[in-house]
Amino acid sequence: MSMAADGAENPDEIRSPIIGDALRVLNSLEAEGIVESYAIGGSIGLLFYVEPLLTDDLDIFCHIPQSGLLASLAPVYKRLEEMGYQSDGECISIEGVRVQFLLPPTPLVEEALQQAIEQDVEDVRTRVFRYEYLLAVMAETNRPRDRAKIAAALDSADPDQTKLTDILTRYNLLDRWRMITR
Amino acid sequence: MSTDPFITSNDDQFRKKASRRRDLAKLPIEEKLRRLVKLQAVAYTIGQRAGRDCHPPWGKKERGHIQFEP
Repeated sequence: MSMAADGAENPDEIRSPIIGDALRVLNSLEAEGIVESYAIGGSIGLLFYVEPLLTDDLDIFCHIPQSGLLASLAPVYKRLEEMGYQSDGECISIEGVRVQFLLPPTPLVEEALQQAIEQDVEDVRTRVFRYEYLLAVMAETNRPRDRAKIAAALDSADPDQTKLTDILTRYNLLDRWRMITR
Repeated sequence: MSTDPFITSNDDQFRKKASRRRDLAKLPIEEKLRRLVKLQAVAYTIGQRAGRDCHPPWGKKERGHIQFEP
């Protein structure tokens, strides 16, 4: 397959930043107190550990400060729209990257968010779910595409088996994991 | 394992693919992002040609014009 740039950027010369500018915006939201302790999950989280897998959105898990049981992401979208970014369905486009904000939907994702680790991407400090949590969350979600991503991930990088087994056991996912990976 | 590059067993091919995937996993995150955008551009072009509503690759607007020709 040959590539033509059609008068635009040659894909062989795609330069950084790709997500760096979007991450700077996320960090500014955190500094303003709009979001609290965000971390990258989903397929972009996986990208830190495994071979590149196709995805078109950046999943950001976060807490909303001073929100009660009925936490809402509305303040995040409102602030981003004030900054000139446009919503696109369930995502919002920040500096050319489709970003989806998510509140932790389960205790496992909540723990994954708490245990996220700091990483530098394109000279921007951010937080990312640990590999073992990403795998466990996909096992918990268990859609066909999650199972496919688990298979692809395990083909390219080994998790820490002790950590993974501990997480899967505590969240009663070990049998499901064995079914998915047999 | 065969030493002839043109005669390879399935095992050889699987081993090479597995090795390549593990090499890709070790690339710096910036290089993986660059490759992801290329994948997005390919998916976008194929999707558009098939008449599907799909998202352009990440980046500034001009990246939406990347075309991959067969």
